[in-house]
Amino acid sequence: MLRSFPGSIVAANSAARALTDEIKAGLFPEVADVVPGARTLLVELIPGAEPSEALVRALASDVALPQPRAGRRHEISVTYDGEDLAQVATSCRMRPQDVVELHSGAEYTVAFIGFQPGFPYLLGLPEELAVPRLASPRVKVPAGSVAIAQEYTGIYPDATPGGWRLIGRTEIVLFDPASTPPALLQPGDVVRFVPA
Amino acid sequence: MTLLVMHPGALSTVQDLGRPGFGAAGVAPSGAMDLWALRAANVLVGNEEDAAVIEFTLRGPTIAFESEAVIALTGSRFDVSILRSVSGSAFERDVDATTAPHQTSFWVRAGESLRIGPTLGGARGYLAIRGGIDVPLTLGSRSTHVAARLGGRVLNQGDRLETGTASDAPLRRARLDAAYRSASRLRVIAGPQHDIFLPGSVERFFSSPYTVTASSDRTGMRLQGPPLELRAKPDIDPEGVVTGALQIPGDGQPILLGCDRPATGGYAKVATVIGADMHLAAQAKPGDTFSFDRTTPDVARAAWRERDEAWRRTIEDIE
Repeated sequence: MLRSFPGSIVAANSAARALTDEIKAGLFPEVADVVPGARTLLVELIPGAEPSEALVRALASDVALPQPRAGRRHEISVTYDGEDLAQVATSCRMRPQDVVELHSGAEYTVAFIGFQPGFPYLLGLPEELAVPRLASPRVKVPAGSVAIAQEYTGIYPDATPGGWRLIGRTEIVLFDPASTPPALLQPGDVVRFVPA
Repeated sequence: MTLLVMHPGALSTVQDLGRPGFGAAGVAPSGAMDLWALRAANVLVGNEEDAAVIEFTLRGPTIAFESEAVIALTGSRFDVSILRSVSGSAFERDVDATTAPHQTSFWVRAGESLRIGPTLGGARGYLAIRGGIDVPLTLGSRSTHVAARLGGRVLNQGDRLETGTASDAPLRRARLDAAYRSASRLRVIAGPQHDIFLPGSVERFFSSPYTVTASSDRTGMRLQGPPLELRAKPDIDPEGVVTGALQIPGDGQPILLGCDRPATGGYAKVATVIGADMHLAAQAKPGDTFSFDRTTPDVARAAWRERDEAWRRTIEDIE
């Protein structure tokens, strides 16, 4: 079951996170997982289970949603020497140091975690830095790469294929299955990048 | 009890029922692609249904047993021999090879090996051992997420695998229907973006077979057939996805998401294969075909419950 929110991505994501918290707090026994997206909320049911009326009602609820819970704040140290930094600067008609200044000057909100374990999609990228994804994704992006694409910035927790543009790297460990929760960044957390 | 991996096969992994519930951390559930085969294999050897087993793909592993054990093979039928050294001979060729039974638990003795060769049917087989495979729990599961290198184990030559505590149970046999057919009909429910596809192309999607390509693994199966055409771009704001979703990238060719899928995806999804039919998809090999039939969420849930009861009835103790 999927609930989608209209409007700006920031407002929609905020609503999706707020409803995620509500559904999780409801402890519905038929729910296997609750996954926030950019502007959606996916409720996965236990196989074969019927959704209860209470769940259907909670998911469809159009009452004014409460604000999502306030997240933790993180400062992440970044070495801005990404492979695509020069090219991003050129396509944005600025110098590489301007890209660094803009990227590290903004405050980001973790919209959701997706793609691979611990990969944060951060909203709050200055509009001047909106660049499309690579036409052809890299076969391997190094772990810790700080990257941008469209309205997002993110960090690759592990070496994987990827199509975002690489502007820097960090040593931070974003995913540790032995930790609770396993992902360092949670939806709603606030992130600032600090040039190393 | 220790198992020694003499040869890993094409892709052999430790799997159980998976780790649902971590989607918000970006973690897909993993677990056996053919869940019914996993459960049956466990019940045949006297394990709990969710114990960890070895899932093997297209060509299986060769496993040596350091002490006696009760094992069972389920899923697709593979060419499987039990190898036993002829006493006194130091030559590897001097082995007795007998064919191993399928869907039946049996004893192997210390020093014997199981050589699982090529498949005789579908893509995946399962080997359960009484006591279960004991690799460390990762987020509550022993499953292997192959793409994310998370949890479980991808078998390599020379690996040693321990088993957990075995409990007494009679030997059993099962009569599960053969999940494998080269042309499967899969029931689907409408996907979240089904209405952004051109109706004519959706009609062709439901009336044409799609071929499974070689670019298919536990992450997803790339299919080839009449392309799905969209009214808009295929890119959507990324959202949570489920196993069985049919996502359509720019070339219009569907990707059927498997158990090691990403947690979220940014492509439009035309339909979702129902859970009760995912074992049919799990057994398909490159070159096989799928045809898709529309159904509803209510039918999907009922079909799951029916299948969940049906497989148990096929298992009986051997007198």
